Amino acid sequence: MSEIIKIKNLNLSYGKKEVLKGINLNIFKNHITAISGPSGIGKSSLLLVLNQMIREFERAKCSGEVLFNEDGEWRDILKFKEKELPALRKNIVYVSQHPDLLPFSIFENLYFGLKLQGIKKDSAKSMIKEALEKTFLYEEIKDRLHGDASMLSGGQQQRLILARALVLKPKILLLDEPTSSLNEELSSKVEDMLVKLKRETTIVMISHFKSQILKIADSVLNLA
Amino acid sequence: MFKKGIISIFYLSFFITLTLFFIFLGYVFYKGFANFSLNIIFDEASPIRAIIGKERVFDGIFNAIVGSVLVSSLATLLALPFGFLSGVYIASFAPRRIKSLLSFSYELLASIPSIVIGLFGLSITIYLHKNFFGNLYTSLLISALSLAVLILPYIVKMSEQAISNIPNQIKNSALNLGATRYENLFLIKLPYISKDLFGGVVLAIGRAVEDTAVIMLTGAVAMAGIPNSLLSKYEAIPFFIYYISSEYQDMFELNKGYVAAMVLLFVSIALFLFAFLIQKLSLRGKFE
Repeated sequence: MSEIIKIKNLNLSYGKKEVLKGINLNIFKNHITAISGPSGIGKSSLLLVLNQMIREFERAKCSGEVLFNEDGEWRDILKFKEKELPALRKNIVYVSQHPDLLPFSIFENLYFGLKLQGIKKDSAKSMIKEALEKTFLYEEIKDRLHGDASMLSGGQQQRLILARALVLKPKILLLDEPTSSLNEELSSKVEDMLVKLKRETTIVMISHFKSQILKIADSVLNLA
Repeated sequence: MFKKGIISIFYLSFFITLTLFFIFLGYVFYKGFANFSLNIIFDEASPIRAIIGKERVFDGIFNAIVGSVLVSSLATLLALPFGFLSGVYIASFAPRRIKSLLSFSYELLASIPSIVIGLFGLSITIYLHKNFFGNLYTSLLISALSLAVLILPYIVKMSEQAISNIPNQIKNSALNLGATRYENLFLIKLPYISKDLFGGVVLAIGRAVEDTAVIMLTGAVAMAGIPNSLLSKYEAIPFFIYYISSEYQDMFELNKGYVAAMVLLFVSIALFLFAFLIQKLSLRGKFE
C-alpha cells in the first residue's frame, strides 16, 4: 500500500474567507478515498487543489504542501509552474458535479482531451467507445454521437463527463458527487464500475451518501 | 391604487420615449423620402457609370457615401487587429494586478469626446507636416487613423467582455482536460466568441460611420469628389449634413441634407440590425 499524494497542513482561502485549515491527508494508490462533510465546507475546493484548477479562481490562496508521487519522485503540486499544469491535469482529472460540457458534439467532447495528446480520431474511436461503455452510456447515445452534447439529460451529461475523464486514463480521478444526478440503479452500476476501476487508477471522490461511502470507499476524510 | 399609479408612470415614460423615437425617425424618413431622387445622389451623372468610376459626380451625395464607406472601413481595418488582440490579452493573459487598471484605461479612452481626438489628429498632422513630411496634410488617411483611435477602446472592451462573459464552466473545462492557455484560447474561447465579436465589429463600424467631430478636423471637406489616394481630402455623409444645413442657399440644398441624414440613419440602423441578427444567431448556435 503506497501513497500517491500526501497533503500536509493545507490551508486555502478565498480572499479573506478561510475555507480549509490545516488539512492532513494521505491518499493511497489504487484506493478510493472518500471526502464527506456538510455543504460549503470546502470539499470541492480540496479536489480543485489536487489538480490546481484552484488557480483559475482569482482570489484563491493556498499554503502548506501537497506532495504528488510522480513516477517515484515526490513533488509539491502547489509549487508547480504554470507551464507544468497541463501535464499535471492530464494525470489528475477533475470531474465536476455540474457537467462542464464543451460547446461541441458528444464525440468532440470525448475526443477533446485525446486530441490535445495528439491522438488521431481513428485511434480515438475505440477508446471513446470503451469509456462510454464503462459509464453505461454507449447504448443510449451510439446513434447520436455527433449530436449536440447539451441536448443530453442531466444524468447522461454527468456520465458523459465521467467518460470524458476515463478516456484519458488518468493516474488520479477526482470525482465530485459523481452519482448526484443518477437514479438508484445507475448509481449502483457506477459504484460497481468505480470499484473495478480502482485497479487501474486512484480515485478521490466527494459523496453525501453514507451508504455509498461504506460500500466503495477504502478510506474517508470527514471535513467537519 | 398606489401600485397602479406607479405602474402607469412606467407605462407613460415608455410611451413618451417610444413616441419621441418614432417622431424623430418618421420626420427624418418622411423628409428624406419626400425629397429623394437619384439626382440628389448622383447629380447629372449616370448612376451606373458613377458607381463603376467612369463618370464624376459633382454635386450629389454619392461622393460623401463613398467617402464614409472608405474612411470607416479603413479605420476599422486599422483598429481591429490592435483592439482585438489587446482585448484578448487583457481578458486572458494580463497579470491580475494590472488587469483592472488596463480595463479602466480603455473605459476612460472610450469616454474622451471625439472632438478631442479630432484635435489630436490635427495637431499630430501639423507637427509631422512642419518637421518631417512637408506634403502631409489632413486627409483620408489621417481621418481613418483618428477614427481608429476613436473606435479602438470599443473594440478592446468588446473583445475583453466577450471572453470574460464565457461561462466559467466552459472556460475551465478545457484546462481541466490538460489544455494549455493557448490551446484553450484558440480551440475554445475564440471559436465561442467569434460571432459576438463579428457583431461588435459591425457596431464599431457604425460608430465610425456616424462620427462628425473627428473627420471635420482631419480631412473631410465639401466638394472634394471621390478621393484618388489615401492622402486626398474626401467627403463624408455626417460632414455633408453639417455643412449643408449650416450653409444652404435654398430649400433644394437643405433637402439634400435630409436625404443624406436618411441615408446615414439607414446605414446605422442596417448595421445595428445586422449586428443584432448575428448575435441572435450566435446565441442559437450555443444553446440549441
